Amino acid sequence: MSARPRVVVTGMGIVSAAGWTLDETWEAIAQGRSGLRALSLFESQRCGKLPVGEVTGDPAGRSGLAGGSRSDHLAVWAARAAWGDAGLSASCFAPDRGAVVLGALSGGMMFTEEFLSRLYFDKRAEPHHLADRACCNSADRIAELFGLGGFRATVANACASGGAALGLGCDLIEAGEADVVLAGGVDSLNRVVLNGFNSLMLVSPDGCRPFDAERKGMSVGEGAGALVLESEEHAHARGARVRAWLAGRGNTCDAYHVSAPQPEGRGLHEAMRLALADAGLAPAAVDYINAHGTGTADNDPAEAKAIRALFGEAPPAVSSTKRFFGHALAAAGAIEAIVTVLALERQAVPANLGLRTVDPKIPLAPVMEYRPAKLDVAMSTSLGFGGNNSAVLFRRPGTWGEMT
Amino acid sequence: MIPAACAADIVAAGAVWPGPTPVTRPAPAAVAQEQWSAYRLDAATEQSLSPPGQIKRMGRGQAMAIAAVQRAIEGCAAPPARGGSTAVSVGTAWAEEGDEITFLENLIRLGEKGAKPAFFVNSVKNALASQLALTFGFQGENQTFAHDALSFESALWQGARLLRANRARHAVVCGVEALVEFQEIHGHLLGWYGTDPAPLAPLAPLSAQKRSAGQGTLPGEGAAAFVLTAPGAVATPLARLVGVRARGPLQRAPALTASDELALVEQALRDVSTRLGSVGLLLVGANGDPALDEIYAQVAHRLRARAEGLAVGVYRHLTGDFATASALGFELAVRAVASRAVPREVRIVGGTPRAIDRVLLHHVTRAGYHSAMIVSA
Repeated sequence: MSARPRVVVTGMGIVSAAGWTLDETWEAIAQGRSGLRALSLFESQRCGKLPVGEVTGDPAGRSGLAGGSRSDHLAVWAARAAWGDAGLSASCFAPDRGAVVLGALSGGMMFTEEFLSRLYFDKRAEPHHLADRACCNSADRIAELFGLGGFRATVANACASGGAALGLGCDLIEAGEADVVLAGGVDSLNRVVLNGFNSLMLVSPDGCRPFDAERKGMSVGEGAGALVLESEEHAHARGARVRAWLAGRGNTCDAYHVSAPQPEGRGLHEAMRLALADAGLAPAAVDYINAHGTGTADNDPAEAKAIRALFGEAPPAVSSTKRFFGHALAAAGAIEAIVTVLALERQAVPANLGLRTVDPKIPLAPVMEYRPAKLDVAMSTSLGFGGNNSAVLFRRPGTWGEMT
Repeated sequence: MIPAACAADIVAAGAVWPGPTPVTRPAPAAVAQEQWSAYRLDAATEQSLSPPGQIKRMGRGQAMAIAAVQRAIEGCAAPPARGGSTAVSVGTAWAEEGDEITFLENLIRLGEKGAKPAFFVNSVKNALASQLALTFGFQGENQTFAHDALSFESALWQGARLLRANRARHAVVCGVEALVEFQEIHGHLLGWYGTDPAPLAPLAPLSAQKRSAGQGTLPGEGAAAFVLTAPGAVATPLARLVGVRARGPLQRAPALTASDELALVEQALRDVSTRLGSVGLLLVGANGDPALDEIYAQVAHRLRARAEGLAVGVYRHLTGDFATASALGFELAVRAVASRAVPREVRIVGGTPRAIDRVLLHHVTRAGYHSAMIVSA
C-alpha cells in the first residue's frame, strides 16, 4: 500500500479587522493591538456600540471583483493573496485537478435584507442582487478567477466551517483527487448574525476577553482566510516554498445541544485526539494551541477542560486570538489556522489579548504576553453551533523529513 | 468536478416526497402573476413530520431530514450506531432558510427588538446536520455542504470518502430542501419559473406535452437519506454507489451544450470502468424547463444511439425543481437496482426497461452545475 500523500501549505492570504495582509496581521498580534471597534458598516440601535471585528477599508474596491457581496470581496481578496503567495499560475495544474473548498455562512445576507426592506417598505421588488446572495457564490467566484474546475464545495459547519474546509481539502489531496486546493473560510458582518448572537446574550459589551474571569461574551467579526494546499510531491515538483505541513485534522459532533458545547468538551477532546492520531503524534509533541476561545460563558471552560484532559498537567502554550479580530464565524477556523502557521514561522506565541485574571473554572494558564518560543507543532481548534468541533495540526518545515 | 471513484454500499434509504401534484395558490404582490404553483408536502406528510411534543422549535427542513433518516433506518438490517462511528453528511443549498427569513423579517418589521433567538439558531446552515446528530446520537464527522446543485453530490462523495478512509463505519447522507415563499419569489423574479400567469399543470418533462418558455419549471421540496457502509461490510446491501462526478461552472451564466453534458457523463462512466451498455436506466433531472429539457433530450438521444437497450426516465414531475432534488432521483435509482425494476413513479420517456442492474443519473442546471452518478446492484 502506498503511503498517504502529505499535505503542505504553500500559500496563505488573510483579511480581518487586524489587517489586510499576513504582515499586518502579525504586526497587530506582536504589538498586542486589538482590531475591535464600534460598528460602522450599518446602523444598529441595539448593537451599534458593541465592539466588533469589522474589516476597515473598501473590500469591494480592493478585491478587483465586479459585483458580488461583501463576503465575495473578502474571500476573493484572501484567495488572490494566497494564490500569489504560493506562486501559482494556471500552468501549475490541470483545471480538473484544481479544487476550492470554502467555509461560508452569511454569503450575501445584506442583499436579502435590502430586498426584503424594499419589498416591505417601498413595495418594490428589485431582484438584481438576489443572484449573489447564496453563500456558495464566494467559492464560485474564486473557481472562476483561478480556473479551478475540480471539486468545489461550500462547507457550512457553523463556526467550525473553516477548520472543516481545511480537513476536506486534505481529503481531496490524500484521495488523489486534486493537486491544488484553495481552502479556507469567509464571513461578513450583517444584521442577522449580529442581532442573532446578541439575542442569545452572547455578545460582550466591551469586547471579548477569552478565558477571563470577567468575560462577558464574544465579539462578532468578519474576514477571510485562504490557504493553498498541495501534496508535498506536487509542491516539490514545482519548486514551491512550503510554509507548513497540514499534518492532521479531526472533526466530531457533540450531539449534545443545538447551540452550546458539551460542558466537558468531550467532542473537542475527541477531535483533537483524532488530529494527533492522524498526524501520528503524541500530545506532548504539540507546542502551541490556538484556541477557539470565544469568551462566552460556555465555550471557554468546555474547551479548557478538553485541552487539559488530553494534554494533562503540563499542556502546551494556549491562547485565543479572538480579541485581535473578533469571531469571524465561518472564517474563524481559516484565519486562526493562518495565525497558527505564522506562529510556527515567526517562532512566537501570540498573547491571549484581553486576559487579565484567568477564570478559576478554566484549568489552563493561557499565554498573557506575546513571547518568542521554539515551536515545531501547533494546533488550531474550532467549535460551532450544533456541536461541531474541528482541530487542525500543523508542523513547521524542517521537522518531518522533507523531500529533497 | 467531484471525483468519480467513491464506491460505497447503500444499506438503507428513505425519503420524504412532496405531494404528487403541484399546489396552486394566489401569488404575492411581489410577483407579476395572479397564481403560482409548487410541489409541496401534502397535509398528511406534513403532519407526520411533527408528532405532538416531539419536534419543538424545529424548522421544516430539520423535520424533513429527520423523517427521511428515520424512514431509512426503520428498514435497515445493520443500522448506524450512536456514537463516533457514524458520520453525518448533509447536502442542502438553503438549509433552514424559512427561519432565517423569519428572523430577518422580524428585524425589518419590528426593529431589533424583534430578533428571536430560536429562529437565529435554526438559521445557521448546519442546523439540519446537527439536528440529525442530536436526534440519533451520531457523534462522528458532521458536515454540511451548501453549494447549490453540488450540495447532495458533495455530501455523497464525502460520506463514501469517510468510509474509505476508515473514519466512519456508517455514513448517513442526506439531501434536503424545504420550500420557502421567499425562494419562490426569488426564483420567479429571476425567471427560473417563468412568468405565465395561467394555473400550471403538473410537469411532464421530456414528453410531448411541451411547456412554453413562459411556464418554465416549478419549485419543489423534499428529502432523501441513505445509510452508507464500506463496500462489502454487509452481506446484502440495497445497492452500491459506484461513482459520482460533478462540477461547477467556470463562468457566470455559462452556455450549456449537450456535447459538454455528454462528455461529463462519458467521463463519469470511464472513471469507474463502466460500459454504457451495462446501464439499464438513464434517470435524468429534466424539469420542464424547455432549454434544459432540450439538452437532456439530446444527451439521452445520443446515449441511446450507442446503447440500444438503454431506457430513459424522468422524475421531476414528482418533486418539482430544487437544488438537492437529485437526492430524490438517487433514491429512485437505489430502489430500481434493489428491486431490479423501474419504480412505477418514474416516467419512462424512451426505450423499454429491462431488469435494472445499473442506473446512471444525469443532472444539469441553468447555473451550470452538472453531475453524473452511477448506482449498481
